[in-house]
Amino acid sequence: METKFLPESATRLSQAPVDYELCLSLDWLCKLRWIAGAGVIVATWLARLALGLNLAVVPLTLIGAGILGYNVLFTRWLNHLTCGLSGANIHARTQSRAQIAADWVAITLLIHYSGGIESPAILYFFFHIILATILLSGREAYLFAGLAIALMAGLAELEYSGWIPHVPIEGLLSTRLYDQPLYVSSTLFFFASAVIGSVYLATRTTSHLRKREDEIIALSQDLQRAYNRLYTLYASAQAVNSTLELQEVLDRLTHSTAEVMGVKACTIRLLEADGQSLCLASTYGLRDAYFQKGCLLVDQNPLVREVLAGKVVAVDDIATDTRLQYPVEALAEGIHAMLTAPLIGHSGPLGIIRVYCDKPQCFSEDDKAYLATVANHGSIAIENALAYAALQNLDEAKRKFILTVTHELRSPVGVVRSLLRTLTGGYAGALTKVQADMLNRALRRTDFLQTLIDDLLDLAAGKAGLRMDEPPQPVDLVPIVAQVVERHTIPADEKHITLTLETSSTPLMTMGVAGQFDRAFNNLVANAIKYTPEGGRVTVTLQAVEGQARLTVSDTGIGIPEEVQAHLFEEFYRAPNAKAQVKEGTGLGLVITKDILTRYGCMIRLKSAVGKGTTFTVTCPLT
Amino acid sequence: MTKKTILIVDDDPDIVLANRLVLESAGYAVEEAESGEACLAKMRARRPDLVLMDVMMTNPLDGYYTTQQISDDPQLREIPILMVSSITTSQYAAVFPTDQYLDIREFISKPVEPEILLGKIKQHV
Repeated sequence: METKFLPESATRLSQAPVDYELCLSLDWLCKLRWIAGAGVIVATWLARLALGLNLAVVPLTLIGAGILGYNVLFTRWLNHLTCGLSGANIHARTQSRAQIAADWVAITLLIHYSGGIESPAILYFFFHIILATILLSGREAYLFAGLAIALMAGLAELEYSGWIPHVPIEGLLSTRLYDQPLYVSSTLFFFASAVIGSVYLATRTTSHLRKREDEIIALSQDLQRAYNRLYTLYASAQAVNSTLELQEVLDRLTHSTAEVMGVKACTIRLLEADGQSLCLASTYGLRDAYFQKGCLLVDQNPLVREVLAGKVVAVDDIATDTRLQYPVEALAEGIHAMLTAPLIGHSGPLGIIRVYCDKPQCFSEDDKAYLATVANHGSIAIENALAYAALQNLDEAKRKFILTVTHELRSPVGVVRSLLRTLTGGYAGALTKVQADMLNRALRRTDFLQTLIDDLLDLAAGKAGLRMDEPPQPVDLVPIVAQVVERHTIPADEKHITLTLETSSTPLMTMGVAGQFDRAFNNLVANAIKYTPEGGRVTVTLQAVEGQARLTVSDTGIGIPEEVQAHLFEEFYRAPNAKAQVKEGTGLGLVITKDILTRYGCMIRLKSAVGKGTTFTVTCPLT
Repeated sequence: MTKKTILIVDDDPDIVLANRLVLESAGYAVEEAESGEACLAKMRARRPDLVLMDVMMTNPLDGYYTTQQISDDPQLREIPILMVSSITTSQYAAVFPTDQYLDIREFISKPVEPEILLGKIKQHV
């Protein structure tokens, strides 16, 4: 199974917002240009017709039309661009330069046809100066400012020297200014200084803002990285803790750690019982051949000793580090740096986790901290898995022991019982009264021993799921309970106990095995009769209640003291008042009952008051 | 009328003794065999009227294989076999083949009650 430990967002590159903004502003610039182009035409005709000014209507109208014309092209170009896609930003920068350059030319022409140096449209340059400093870099902004000054100065010079005609707006000014050197030079000076001053001020502010923005971007990228690590740490912790199989825990740990840290490989070595060798337990990303070098030996490996003492140790360059046991093999495998963290459990070191990098100097302090965290939660998971395995072994050993012992006990007890029965049955000749009495006593004890062994055997086999049970199938509880009650009518009569049964008239189907349910219910009814004094009452009911089959066995017996109720389902436990009442009892009946019932998804609980009686309630899911 | 002969096949002398006392007191003649092999030899030497077979002897499934051999022998096939065993509750339960392959008249669980044993034998002899 291939598990991805990195979240989707981890692979998405954070994009510089400035570039994204630039891309978006181009659209906005194009929209404004529609107004500008139309504005030039409308203003021209308004000035001509409404104000009666004599101006170069045709060239100015053409300039307005020209602006609208190239804006069509820019708009189309822009439609091909999707802001935010990689590569789009470079196009956006090129286009923004082209747009500003085209506008520069249009403004220069506009100025020329509206009086050159005398034109009030000079001020329009400032729009684009501000725009350029916002959209472009500082250097480019100065470049464009220089261009604007050059264009303006060139225009003034050409008009002044008569190379190109001066096109004034007649009626706007009463005197000619374009050929007056002092006016021209002072206007140019103020224009130039105003342009440079504004660029200076604007770039200063924007560069400051950009710096801040870069810091924010860097910070958000750091945050994103930290988030990714946390997320993956969480994901790997979840993966690691979702199993108790040691090998699976280890494999998930190496896999996720290598992937999250973006390193070549990750391994886990566990300390052998001798406390001396660290042998490979799980690996991700390295060739098998690399591990033929064998286990790491603690006394030959100073680095490992350092790690096992509780430190996260980085080897920044394997070629120059002397602490390694197998540097040549590592270099041959393409490993140049490694980072090792200790796996430490409650009772001491468990082993080490190590990540491998294919270039030197590859681990930061962050990486160290991260690996230490992984090692910490990994240690807990490993320890849990080890404990679980030990527990399983113990359980299995215990079960096997009980199974063997009881089986070995069963056979001789059976033989003794057979021999006694032969004697008490008179098959070996007549017995005296005393002999018969003593043999019967011996037989009773043997019977008890037999029951105890049978119960134990059942329990051991049942708990391990060893008993060759039929697979659960739908069974009707009604006839089972009826049969159990029927079986107890004679013992109940002997004790003058009123045994009554109220069952559902419709079948109550649940998943299980009829014989097993019989056994479980039988124990409950037999107990009720056993511990109810003469003349008492035992009531058994079986009904469907809230979508479940509910069996109750109530008696008017001796009751179970509250303080011992919790122990009732423990092996060999018998309540003190039960012992006083009935000497023989294995203390296994209820354990077996509960074992059977829980196997089929049923629940058992009890309510009891000393001297008043006990009610056991069993609920089973209906199919 | 001659006594009916019951062959008890069991490797446990105590069980044999107990069963022998019960059966003899009920008027049967009793023969013994302590292994499957001895059982077959005895059956061939002197044909019993019924075999009381323990499934698990020194060799866990000896009784089972012996029964199979008896079923395969046309001379012995007709002799009823009562199988005595605690196998249904033992660890061999899983490997024990169901009786549809064998001509076993009855399964009796250990420990055997004398009355039950006599009752079952009476049905088949």
